[in-house]
Amino acid sequence: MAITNKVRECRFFADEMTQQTLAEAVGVTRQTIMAIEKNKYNPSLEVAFKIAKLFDKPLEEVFAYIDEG
Amino acid sequence: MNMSLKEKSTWISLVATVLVFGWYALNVVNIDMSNMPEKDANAVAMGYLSGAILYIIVIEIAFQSLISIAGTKADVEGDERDRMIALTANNSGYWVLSIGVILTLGQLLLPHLLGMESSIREHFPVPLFEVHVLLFAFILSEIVRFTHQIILYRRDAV
Repeated sequence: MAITNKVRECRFFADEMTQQTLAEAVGVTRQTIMAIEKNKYNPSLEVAFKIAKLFDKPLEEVFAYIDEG
Repeated sequence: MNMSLKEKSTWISLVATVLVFGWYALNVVNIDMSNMPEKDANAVAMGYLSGAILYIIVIEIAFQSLISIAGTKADVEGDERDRMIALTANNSGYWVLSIGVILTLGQLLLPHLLGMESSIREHFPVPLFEVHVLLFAFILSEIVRFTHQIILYRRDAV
């Protein structure tokens, strides 16, 4: 997948925030957070911004686009 | 197994559809049309259909309510991933339903366009033939839709 993320790492440094807490904070299900962390689902821009804002980081620090071409 | 509420709901719909309409299909196919007038056969088939619709409504309401009680409002409404999965799966179901509609139209138009009757009806003598081609296409499209949804949920959950 061309888009990777450091959501798991961010949760770890946020006092090991649970997936459920993060899910509730950004308005998605825990399964969606799991899928994002495993790079199996790319969240919408809105959810990506919400996640980055929650960890007080710029979007590019949490999500990265890898040019595979 | 780690399942979201929407995935559980999809499993219930799939199992209920397969069981109830499987029962209906078996009963309709086994109606012996050679031993009763077409009008009676149609009435028997409609009786089974009414039963199937009643069963599916009762099962869906009972089980969907049961799993919804355990979930939060957000779980019941689903999120953007649930909506994306539903849209992708709808597309698969749409193709199956379209093929069913085209088959039904072909069945209805064949005698007028080519002056010949379709022989499919002779091989599958079920009451209200065109209605059942359309109905089974709809049921099959629902089964394809639910199955595709579950596959997409499972792929993400690995």
